Amino acid sequence: MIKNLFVLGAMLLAAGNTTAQIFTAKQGGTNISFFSAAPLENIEAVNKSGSIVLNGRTGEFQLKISIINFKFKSALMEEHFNENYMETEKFPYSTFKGKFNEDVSNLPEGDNKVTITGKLEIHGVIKEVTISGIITKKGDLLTLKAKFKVLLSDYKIQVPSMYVKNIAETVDITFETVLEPHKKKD
Amino acid sequence: MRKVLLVASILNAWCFFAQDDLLNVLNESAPATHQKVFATFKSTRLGNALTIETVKKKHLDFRISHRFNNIYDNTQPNALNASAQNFFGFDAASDIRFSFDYGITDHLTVGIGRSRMNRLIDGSVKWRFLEQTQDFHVPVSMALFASTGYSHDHLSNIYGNVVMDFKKSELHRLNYFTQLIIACKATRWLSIELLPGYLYRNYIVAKTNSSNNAANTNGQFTLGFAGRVKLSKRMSVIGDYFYLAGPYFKNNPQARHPLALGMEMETGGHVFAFFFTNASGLIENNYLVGNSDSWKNGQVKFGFRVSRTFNL
Repeated sequence: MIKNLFVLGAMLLAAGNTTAQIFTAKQGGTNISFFSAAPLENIEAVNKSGSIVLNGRTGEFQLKISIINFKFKSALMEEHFNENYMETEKFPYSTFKGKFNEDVSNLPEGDNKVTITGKLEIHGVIKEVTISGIITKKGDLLTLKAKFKVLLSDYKIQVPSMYVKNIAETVDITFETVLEPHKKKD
Repeated sequence: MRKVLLVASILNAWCFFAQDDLLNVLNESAPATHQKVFATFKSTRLGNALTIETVKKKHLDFRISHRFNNIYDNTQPNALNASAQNFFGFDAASDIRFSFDYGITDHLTVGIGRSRMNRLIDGSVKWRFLEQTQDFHVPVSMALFASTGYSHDHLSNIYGNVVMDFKKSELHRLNYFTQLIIACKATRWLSIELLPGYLYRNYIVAKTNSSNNAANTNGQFTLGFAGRVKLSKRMSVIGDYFYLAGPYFKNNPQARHPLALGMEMETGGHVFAFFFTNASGLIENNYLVGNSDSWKNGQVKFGFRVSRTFNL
């Protein structure tokens, strides 16, 4: 009986511990940037904040970022990005909801090549995408890195013909975030 | 033992119940931040009126403004012929202005400019001290604008044919304008403004309103209304009107209220404004008072402005 109770206690602890399977972004560990290389100018912006959650057991992964948090070198570019292209007041967020195609519950330490498939929403348009990247495991921390391309016309982001030399048709997205086991804030 | 395992696995499963949306873990229901509005207007001016917009930090806004002459003038004999002969006002300029505005911070702009009308050199400051939020938690944006104009015209032009029963003074070359700009981006496509202001000219030639004998004054309260309706991401209809308070401006054919109507087009770093107005001057110190031209008589001028912003 005592043995049974002990096992129950251990199992309960394990059950409670499953919350540790939830990973969220570490403060200051996220860096999402895009780069547009066009003949006349290169445009670059960085977003350092976002809501990111990974279920380490099932491999489900979700992300939500505020478009207004993309910071540019030129404030005027930033205004045009929000006002003319992303229509940020209409579509304030970009989201990704997907699942890793590999089992991420028991990754070995170091770099692991992974792919993820899910729905990417930009500018109010949702597209199914598969992105490959690397998860680096170091102790409790998981660092996710990915590079992928987004075709602007896929997401109904229109570039007037007079700017085709200023803005690329396809922009490169670089994604990096450090995830840590989620701590409940009470 | 099996029962224990069962209980544990149920607990385990329960922990993952209701996780349809993983992001819920983050308690995103936290109060929404009051996001500030951006791009209430595309440029620092609409037609005649100033907008709430300031030049962004370390950006320089260079602009060339041009106002042609009257397209048509009902008061002229053989008006159509006369206006055709000077190509509907394009042969003459009622005012030309070059100006530079620089953003010290995102909320503080300083500017200098030079207008042909009255040979006026002006310096100005615009300070945006309140920003509207998208959720109307703060319903309006507000800015203070102040400018001083100095006329380097010949004294003979400044005093004209006035009988000099007073001493000449350098101070007579100066005028001052202060304005509070209250703006609201009501929807994504509609922005409106209210602009109470005060103009003071150190020297004026005494005039009276022929309909009620009220005299003009050095100081003058003004109230502007301005708006923009966006037709597309880059094209807008713009308009503004200034009400001039006081009996001197009541039905005075020598002092009309300025009205401007036109279009604005933005192309990346450039903003083009094309509009029609009865006012002759390009800045407040020049255009607010003393317009004898009226829309009713067809005394409308074509104006345009090209602005280019440089990132320094």
